[in-house]
Amino acid sequence: MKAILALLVLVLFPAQLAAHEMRPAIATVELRADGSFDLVISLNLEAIMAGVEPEHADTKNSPQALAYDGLRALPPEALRDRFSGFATSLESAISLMPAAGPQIELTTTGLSIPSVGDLSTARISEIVLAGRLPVGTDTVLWSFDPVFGDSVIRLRRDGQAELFHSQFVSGPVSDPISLADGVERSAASVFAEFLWLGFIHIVPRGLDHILFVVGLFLLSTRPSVLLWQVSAFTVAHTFTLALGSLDLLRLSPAIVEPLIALSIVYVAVENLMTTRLTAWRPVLIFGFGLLHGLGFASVLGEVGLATGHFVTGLVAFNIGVELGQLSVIAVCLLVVGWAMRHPSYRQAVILPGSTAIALVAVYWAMERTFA
Amino acid sequence: MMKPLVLATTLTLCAASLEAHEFWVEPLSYQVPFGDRVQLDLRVGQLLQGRSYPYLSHKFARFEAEDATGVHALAGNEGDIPAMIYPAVAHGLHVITYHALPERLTYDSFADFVNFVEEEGLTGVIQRHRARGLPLTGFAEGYSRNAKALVQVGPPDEGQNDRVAGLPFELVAMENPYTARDRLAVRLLWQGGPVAAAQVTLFHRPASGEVTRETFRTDPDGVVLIPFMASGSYLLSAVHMGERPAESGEVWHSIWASLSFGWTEGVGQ
Repeated sequence: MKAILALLVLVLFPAQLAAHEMRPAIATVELRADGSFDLVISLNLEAIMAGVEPEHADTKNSPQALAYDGLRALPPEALRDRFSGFATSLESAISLMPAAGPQIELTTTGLSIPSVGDLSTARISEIVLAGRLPVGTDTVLWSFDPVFGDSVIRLRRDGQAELFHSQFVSGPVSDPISLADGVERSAASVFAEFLWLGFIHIVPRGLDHILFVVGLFLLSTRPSVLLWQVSAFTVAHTFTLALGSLDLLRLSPAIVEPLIALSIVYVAVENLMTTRLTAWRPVLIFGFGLLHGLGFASVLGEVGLATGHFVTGLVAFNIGVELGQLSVIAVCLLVVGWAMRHPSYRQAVILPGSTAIALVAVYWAMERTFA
Repeated sequence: MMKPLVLATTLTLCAASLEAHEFWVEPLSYQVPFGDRVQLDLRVGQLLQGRSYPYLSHKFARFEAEDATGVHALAGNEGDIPAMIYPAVAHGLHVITYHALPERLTYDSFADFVNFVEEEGLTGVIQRHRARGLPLTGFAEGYSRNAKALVQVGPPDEGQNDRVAGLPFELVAMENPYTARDRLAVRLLWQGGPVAAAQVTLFHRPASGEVTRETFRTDPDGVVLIPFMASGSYLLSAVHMGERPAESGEVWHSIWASLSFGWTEGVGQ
């Protein structure tokens, strides 16, 4: 009823309402240390929804003036209902993305529409969108579809009053916005993030590394033996991961990945052929560690390691990898540890387990070589 | 047939006081204690009611504050609302100057143009429009805005006054409004020289109650005497209309001057 009344008023007094000078949409980004952000856009929602062309300095001069006035007079709940059908087209018209990298998704998380108030002035609503920049993003671009008019992009760090960047944008894409001095991450947040990254790179993402560790586990019935093997592996991959991340050593994944698969085949086959650890096994495991480190390096290269906290990130990533490996061993112990001293442990566990690992790894080696 | 007729009539009746959009600088408070912050909004609207506009550096040629220590450029972040906040660390009168770069609008209705011109007391413009054989719709008018605001930091000082900022079209208070009594003399300047017989519109918003609008004409020295009614916000506005050759893309160019000040009863007076 309110809306009908408002429309009636509109029809009766059109000149009183439809003269709102256009102003750009103002987007303010609150960027958190982990790359996640909230984007608050304050804009004349009715003008955008009615399709008032930005070249009209004033809503009154647009052919959409009547539609605009109709929306302007709607109470907040009614305008909110109309907006729900419009949200996706707005989301697709807005982006904050890494200058080099993929599009990132924005999700509308809030909408605040003031009460109708004084119809002689424009109503400015606020839309809140959430998104996350990939780790290592150092430059971003803002884009706001020019059919919705000009925009201003402003960025501040979470919890800080001062902006570190503001830019008026007239056109489809902003000038590049450097986050170099904008994203100042605490060592603790880098540590936590890379610890997590290292861990999930083993569990659940690194099935090949999991099988390698299981392979080591199967032939090591004494914990001390297993521990120094895993440690030798870790020291080795820390070494090549550092060199790889610093770009001092690079090997194509086309070479590294099949070799990693072959290293798993080797461990599994050796499990089948021998019951005792050979003298060269530690050396080999160290070598395999070097190999796997190069594999991690290519992953870290994709994720990006903040230059300001290189050592922190590297150490945390390795600790994460180590924790991932230890958790694999812990699960193995829980599942078959009780049977280790059983006479048929080799027949019932080691041989079938190693055979399965060998087969899978052979398949990977071929796939990674010829695919 | 009846409906559109009623609609058209209503439109004309209502439009009379609504065509002109004043532009002014409005401080959150015109009287600021020393050490506090001066907060300035840029406003566009009617009858002292207007939406706040953001700080956008490409929109102005000058945005400054002059106080006892000198002239200071007011530089902010793009998109700031209020457009400017700065610490009030200089005692006395602060003269805020905002010189906007030109903008342009196109008239779809000649009635709108006529109403605006009449409202601003711009005599002879409509006759010239017809004499020049200009179209009645679809013609463009450029506009440029020159706004000043007077902010008092700490107690007022008799010796301090507004100054000629050198804007193309400018209202200058001839006395300090924060020490003046009963009435205030204000001079209107075009390119530095006084403008005689020009309309100056006064808007006053009392602490409580309706905004009032009153028009004055400058005397041969370009001066209007404004009566002080009560505390509250004051806005003085004037429009100069200049002809433009059609090849410039606009046929008219209006230049706007505004001067705003205000006080709260019992503070500083």
